[in-house]
Amino acid sequence: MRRYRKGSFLFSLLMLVLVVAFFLTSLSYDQKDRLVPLVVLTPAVAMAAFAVAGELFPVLLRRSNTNVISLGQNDEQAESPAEVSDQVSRRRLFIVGGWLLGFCFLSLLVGFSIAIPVAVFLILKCFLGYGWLKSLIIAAVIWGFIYGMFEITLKYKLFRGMLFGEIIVF
Amino acid sequence: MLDGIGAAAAMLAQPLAILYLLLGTVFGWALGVLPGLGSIQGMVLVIPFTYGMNPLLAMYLYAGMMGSTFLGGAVTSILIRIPGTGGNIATVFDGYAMAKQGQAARAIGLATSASFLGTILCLALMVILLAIVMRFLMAFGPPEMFMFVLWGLTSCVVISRGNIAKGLVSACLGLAFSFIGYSNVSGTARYTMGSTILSGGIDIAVFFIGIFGIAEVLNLATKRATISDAKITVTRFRDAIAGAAETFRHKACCLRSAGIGMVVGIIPGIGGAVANLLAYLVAQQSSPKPETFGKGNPEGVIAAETANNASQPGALLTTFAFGVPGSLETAVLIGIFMLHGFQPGPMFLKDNMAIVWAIIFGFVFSNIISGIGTLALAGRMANITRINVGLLIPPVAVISFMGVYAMRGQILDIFAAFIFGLLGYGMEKYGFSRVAICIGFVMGSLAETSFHASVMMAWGSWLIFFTRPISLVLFFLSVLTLSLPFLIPLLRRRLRSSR
Repeated sequence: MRRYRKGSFLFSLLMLVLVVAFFLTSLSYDQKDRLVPLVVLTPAVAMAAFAVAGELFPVLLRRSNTNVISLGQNDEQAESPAEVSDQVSRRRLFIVGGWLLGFCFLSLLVGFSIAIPVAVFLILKCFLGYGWLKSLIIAAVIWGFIYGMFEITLKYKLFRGMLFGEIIVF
Repeated sequence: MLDGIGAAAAMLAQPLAILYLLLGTVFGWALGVLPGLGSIQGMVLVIPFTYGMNPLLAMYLYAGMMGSTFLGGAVTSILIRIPGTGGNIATVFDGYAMAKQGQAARAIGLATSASFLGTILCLALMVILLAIVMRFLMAFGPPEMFMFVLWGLTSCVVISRGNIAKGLVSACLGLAFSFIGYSNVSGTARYTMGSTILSGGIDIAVFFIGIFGIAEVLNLATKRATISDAKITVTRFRDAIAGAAETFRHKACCLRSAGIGMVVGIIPGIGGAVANLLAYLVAQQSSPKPETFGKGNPEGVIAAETANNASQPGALLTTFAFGVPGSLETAVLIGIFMLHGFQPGPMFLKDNMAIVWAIIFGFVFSNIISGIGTLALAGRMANITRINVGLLIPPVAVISFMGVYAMRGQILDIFAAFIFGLLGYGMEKYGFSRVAICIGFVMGSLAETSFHASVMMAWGSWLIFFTRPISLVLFFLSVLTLSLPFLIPLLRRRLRSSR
């Protein structure tokens, strides 16, 4: 419970930082360019600060909860797909989040043709616990589907990777 | 109004269109069955693949998906007590109760025919209303468009469930993201940090795929191995047909729920999730035996499923007529229109009726196809919930990233999608509205240009928003909507004390 609220507080803080960053950047533009952004971002900063305060003083957030449609006891009847415990959930989240980021960097360096089968194989074998053969087959199928769809059907060249000569424009 | 019907029908006669319609229907239905996924994820994932396609063909694919998702979601609601989509929550209450009493097939039949009736009735109503609305579209100028967007944003923040402060932050952040790039007003680059890529703004596909596709991958990581281990009842076709016929004996409930769904769909920014709950509530309170709701009353299933499907034509009406999304699905659809070169807004109907008719035909046929499939195979196909959800992670992630890259050929877009994915996951987990941020993002450009055009029309005065009647009415609607969370508890307390 504490971890959840800490996460909620940090995320609300992140949203406040984002909104404030937009707000402060807007001040540097001329009047016409900053008018609508400021009209939008001024209440957003206030609401974001309120949301952060609400994480520290939950009674504030409770008062601003919208429950325009309430079904009373029936609200509880529908289940959502079961999640695992918080600790397991965080561990899996970090692993899959790290895998996604790793896939991005691998694609940047060596291109999709190598990154896709390698990344898919790794997550199937190491995270999901599939065997060697099953992981290889599924990785090959996914790579084949992507290659077939893009290079053959859509005639779209997959990114080859910085190490193989592709240039990045930032 | 009938312009374009020939072109849409002629396209539908082609085998490729039928193939895409079938693919979209099956894909949408399967996504509806899988809780947590829905037509949104399906639509964003296929955006890159339809980019170069004939727009009419693409619309058949999307309409197929949108038309079948809620019915897919009803199957899991009834059979395993897990709503397949947000628009199927209320279906669980009586649908699962009926399944526990051995009447799963009957419940599925009720859901199928209710879905069909809701869609068909409200599509017909949508066509009639479009013909009427088209005559008044000329009265909608920039001030009205700005106020309509404002109402849409306040509606989606307030009327869906959640926290109003967090909802407003989400909506405003979505608007802020839409301002990144060259300003529509002056051409100045804003919030680009000197980057050439950001000068072009954030690509719609990158945003949506990140917020929904990549966020969903992260969400799947926290789920247990299979969605459900429950024994799934195999439904008999004969019983399902009997259930489907039973819906026609509850005409009043059907018509009332269709009306509620249509009205909810028309209100910008909210959609099936609110429609099904509201219709259920009204059906319960209108029933001579309200205590039977939640215990297997067929009107509980009929009300929920009629309304969620009826909300889609309502949302489409707002989208086609005003270019303002009536729901999250239509917000994605607006993004798709823009990618295909169509400008949403009041002039959309004048030039693009073929697109409108393609979507209408797509909805009708998708409902028919998914209805027949559901009646025949629901029990067997619900076994899809037994697959290991982890197995969905690699293909969803890879297809999402590939789709993002394919839009502009910029490898750095996949990093942007990853960042939006983290944002989308966090928003979902910590109570910030993804619906609001998406609608804000899609509507930001329209809101800003409408605002500046309005102020220019009035020679710099802001009073123009309050001196034009339609604009003033929309402003009051926005204020009323924002006041609802405070007014409704007050009304409830007064009602309770008066009893």
